[in-house]
Amino acid sequence: MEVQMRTLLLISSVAVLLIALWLFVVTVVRLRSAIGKTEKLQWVEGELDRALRQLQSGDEEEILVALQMLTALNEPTARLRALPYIGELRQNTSPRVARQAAVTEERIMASLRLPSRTERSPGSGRYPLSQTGGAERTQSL
Amino acid sequence: MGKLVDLGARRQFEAASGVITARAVNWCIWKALLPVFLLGLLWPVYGVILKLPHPFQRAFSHGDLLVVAALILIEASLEGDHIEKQSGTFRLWCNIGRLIAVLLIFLFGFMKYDAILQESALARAAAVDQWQILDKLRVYSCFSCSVAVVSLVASFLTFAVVVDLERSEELRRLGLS
Repeated sequence: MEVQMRTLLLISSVAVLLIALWLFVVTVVRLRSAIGKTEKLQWVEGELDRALRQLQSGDEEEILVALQMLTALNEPTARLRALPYIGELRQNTSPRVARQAAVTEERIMASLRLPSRTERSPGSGRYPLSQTGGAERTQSL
Repeated sequence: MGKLVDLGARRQFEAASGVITARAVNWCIWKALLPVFLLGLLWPVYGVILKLPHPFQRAFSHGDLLVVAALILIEASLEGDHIEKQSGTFRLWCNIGRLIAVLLIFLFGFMKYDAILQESALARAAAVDQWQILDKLRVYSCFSCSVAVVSLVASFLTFAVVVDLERSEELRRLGLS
């Protein structure tokens, strides 16, 4: 009986070590996946930084790229910071920039669940965010 | 605006990265590695410094590593609770981890009790019986060490999975998944 129990414990120990080996392989795979995703997020941060710079560049093509980037990437902080400048770009002399700025603003407003410029009543302020505690709402998003 | 925005976005990202690194350090060192390392240190301390006979058995046969392994497993299984979109498999493994942890604590009671009995018998036993008792204590020690190793690896796996799921959530939020 005692010998059997000892053998069982030894077999269990070996089995447990084999499980540890398998788990280690899975850990390496998941870590590599996590590192890949972190790199992707870093790339996004870099692109958003660049987009925010490009918005002020004055170059039509660069502004368009920046607006498209802000439309595609749902990053609330960068979007909120860009919002006043997008508002100005809606009045841009270039119709392409103005149209894209309108599209981007609509998308941002929708993602922040705020009324867009066209939906707001006149005289309600430039952006309701600063008046209605929208920052807290954005935080919760 | 450019400079202000750059700094803001970068600072925010670096803060997030710093949190991840700090969590990794906390996880690896304080929660898992250090406690097991300190318990593992008993073996060379008993053998080299105190020069006690059968240091391996003395250090690990009482099953203290089982309790540490149980705590590590419980900690690991609770780590991913904050993730919004957990898969069924992830939840299942977390629950299995908790169950194993409870079973280990249960097993610890039996092992500790038997190890104490065997050690008291060791002092009275003849040379042939001593060998048998020491062999049994060695098996207990091996089992404890194996369980500790698997709990450590499981803990690292949970950390990797949690970070991976968090990154996935972040990418999904950005509309990139």
